[in-house]
Amino acid sequence: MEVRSKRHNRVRAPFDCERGLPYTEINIDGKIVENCEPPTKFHGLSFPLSGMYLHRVKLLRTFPWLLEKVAERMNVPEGYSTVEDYRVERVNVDTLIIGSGLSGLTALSKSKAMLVTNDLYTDLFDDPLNQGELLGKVKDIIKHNEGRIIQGDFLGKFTEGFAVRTGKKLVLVSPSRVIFAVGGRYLPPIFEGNDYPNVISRRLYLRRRSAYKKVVVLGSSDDAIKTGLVSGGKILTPRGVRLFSRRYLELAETRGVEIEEVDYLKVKPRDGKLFVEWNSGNLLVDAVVFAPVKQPRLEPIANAGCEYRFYPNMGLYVPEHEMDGYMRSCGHFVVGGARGILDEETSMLSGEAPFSAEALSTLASHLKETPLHEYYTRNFVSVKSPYYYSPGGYACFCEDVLWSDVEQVMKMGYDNVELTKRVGGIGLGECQGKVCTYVTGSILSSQRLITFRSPLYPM
Amino acid sequence: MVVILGAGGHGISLAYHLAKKGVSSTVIEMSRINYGSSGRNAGRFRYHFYTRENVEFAKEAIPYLLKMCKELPLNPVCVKTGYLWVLEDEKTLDVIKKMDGLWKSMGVGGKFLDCSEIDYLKSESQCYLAPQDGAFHHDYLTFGMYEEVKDKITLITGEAKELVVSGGKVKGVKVNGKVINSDVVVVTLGAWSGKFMKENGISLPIEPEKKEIFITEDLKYRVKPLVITPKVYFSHTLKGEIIGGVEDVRERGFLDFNVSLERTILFLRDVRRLIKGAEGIRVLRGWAGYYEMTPDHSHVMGYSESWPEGLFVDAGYSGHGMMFSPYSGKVMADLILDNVKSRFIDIFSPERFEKNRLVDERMVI
Repeated sequence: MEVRSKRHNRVRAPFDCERGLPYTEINIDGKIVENCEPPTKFHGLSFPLSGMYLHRVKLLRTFPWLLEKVAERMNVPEGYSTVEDYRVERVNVDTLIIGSGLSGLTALSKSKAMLVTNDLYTDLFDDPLNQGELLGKVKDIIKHNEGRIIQGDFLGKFTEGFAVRTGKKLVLVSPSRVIFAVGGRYLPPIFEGNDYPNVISRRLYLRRRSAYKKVVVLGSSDDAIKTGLVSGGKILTPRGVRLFSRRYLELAETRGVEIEEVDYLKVKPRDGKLFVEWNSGNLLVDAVVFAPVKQPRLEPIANAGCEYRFYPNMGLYVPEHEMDGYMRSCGHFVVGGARGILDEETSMLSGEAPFSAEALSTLASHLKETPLHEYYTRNFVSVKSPYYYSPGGYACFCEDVLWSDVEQVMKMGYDNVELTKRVGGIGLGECQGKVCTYVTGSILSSQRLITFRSPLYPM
Repeated sequence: MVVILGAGGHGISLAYHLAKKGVSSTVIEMSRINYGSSGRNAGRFRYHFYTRENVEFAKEAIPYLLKMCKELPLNPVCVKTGYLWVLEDEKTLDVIKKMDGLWKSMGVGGKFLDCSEIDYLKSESQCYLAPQDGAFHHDYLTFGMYEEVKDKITLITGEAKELVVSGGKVKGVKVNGKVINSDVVVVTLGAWSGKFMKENGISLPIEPEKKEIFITEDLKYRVKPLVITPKVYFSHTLKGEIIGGVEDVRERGFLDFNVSLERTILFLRDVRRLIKGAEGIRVLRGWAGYYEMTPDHSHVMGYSESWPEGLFVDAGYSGHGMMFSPYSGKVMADLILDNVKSRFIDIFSPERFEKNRLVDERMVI
């Protein structure tokens, strides 16, 4: 369902239904409800004013109370109905797995750990390229280990320990090791019109596939080609950014999936559809589906005190880890998409690697064939960011920060994510930087993101 | 040549005021501008202190802050919102009753009212509103000062470890293994000031006390003043969040910057209990920082006769430093460059701890 954005009154809908991402929860008459309904309205009257006017408009200095009037008119909830207080309890857990994708479930099947997840039915269940044996295996693991799976949210580190929310209970745990199997996500690239409803992630597209006949795919990784294979849509990739594997490029060619490098991209709503325009063509589509790269969900990992680094070869951030997934900085493990792995078989191997030397050596040889390989050889080479199509659009959807505002802040010399947060206001909205910090960071080649603070979800 | 240790509000303000007098400076910062308490506070200003000296200081410093708010290239968004005490227990009621007399006599009186008259509050207690106080944006303030003079500041990333002294005079400071020469070194290290001085053999009683602040999800703007109860304090931001923290005293020291579940829940409970419409609001995040505590909870500015010549300090604000940063930088710049000694240099001198002339500030918020 669409909503109006806080400051600019833009029509917005979730681009992905992952918990904690923009617009996935809405407040209806004081009650918070999950929102993953498709939008019915695509645009309306909006006021895309630069946030820098706060500093430039002299009138606001003379009459600062005008800002209070602006605050009173923002699209924010009038109230929140009474909810039950949390009960806090402490539970002993030795090993905790967070996340239930392929790698997390594999790790569960190889250990005596407890697993916490807020979405047991992950992307895998929606992917038509992955039905059959693999899915059967996953269902099997879930069925046989149900007693060790908790449905809940990992809220991060507190003075008292890690907190997990399950129902109205907050469970405090202090495991000797955590296996982060939190996966990765597709984030919206920068171009004019990147915030319109139906500009969606590959993940949401797979979930809603039947609703969209014609799509265009944005992306530079194998996941973009996979999306092209499923949808039949053309792939647009920023010129000079190619992170495809040879195997998938060949597959694209034999199956007739077109890949075009572009220098410029713009999307506009037209008659309930999206009109996509780039330097050498245009298309009217039902959805624009993005899968630039799959960015590991670093917030819980960084929050737990584990180091990460910018991996310039793919324009993404990965937790610092060894081949078996061990993170020396914090003593925990990372597996699967959370360490940057894309394909299913490799992901399963990574879930097994902390427990098996054989799996570890097969994993190492698998990774040699992927763009992640240079992470392990420390052969860092900068490429253009897979998130940057052309100037325009929004950097932050929660607080309506325009990409042009980020550019202005960069011109002032604030060239890393933390400073763009402090001076430009990104990373401070409802989703707490789960989107904009990675995208902005990748484009700026920022070595650091922001501090991902607890709780990791509204609490 | 002036070397300033620490690029928080006070360090940058001093650099700003030196630059305005045509003097360039070098600022040594271990992390980034506003990394410490300057980037972690709730961004409020007030005239209302326990001691006459601090009220007098505020009466100079706050109008100066408001003037800067109109001029800087970034807008620090200074807004008069007031402070509102919810006098839920006898003790606070007695304190405020006593303070009201002093504040009135100094021209910054507030008024008592029934909390039930305040439309966004759910409280039957007595309230006290101090309308002169307000809010600002801490980062825009420091970065605003920095923007204005950044071409006259050399910012060096590194930790200042060792003060270089010769013949009773300051000669420089050692950073990243290299000596940066200067005959004036100013310590604006906030909570780290006592530690730096101690490592250089000088006793300066400034200690860190960990505090936590929380921010909620958005609610239509209504809680304008900073609301202070005996247990928590909170206020709306212009972005729509409720920002605030828990009032408690804990052990001194450089504790971890994580937040406690216990305080998160305490904060949330009182916000939900007291604000109309916030009955089910949730916390989005919390962070921690240090108050830079002195024995009398008042700040330290100036120098001591017992120190090497050329060593100055401006720190120890015990929770109310950010609002004073523009004015303190001016007072310090006047002292260092022009030898103009404001009366506050005497009042807040580091020598007061030895001479037992404490400024006993009890309103730490």
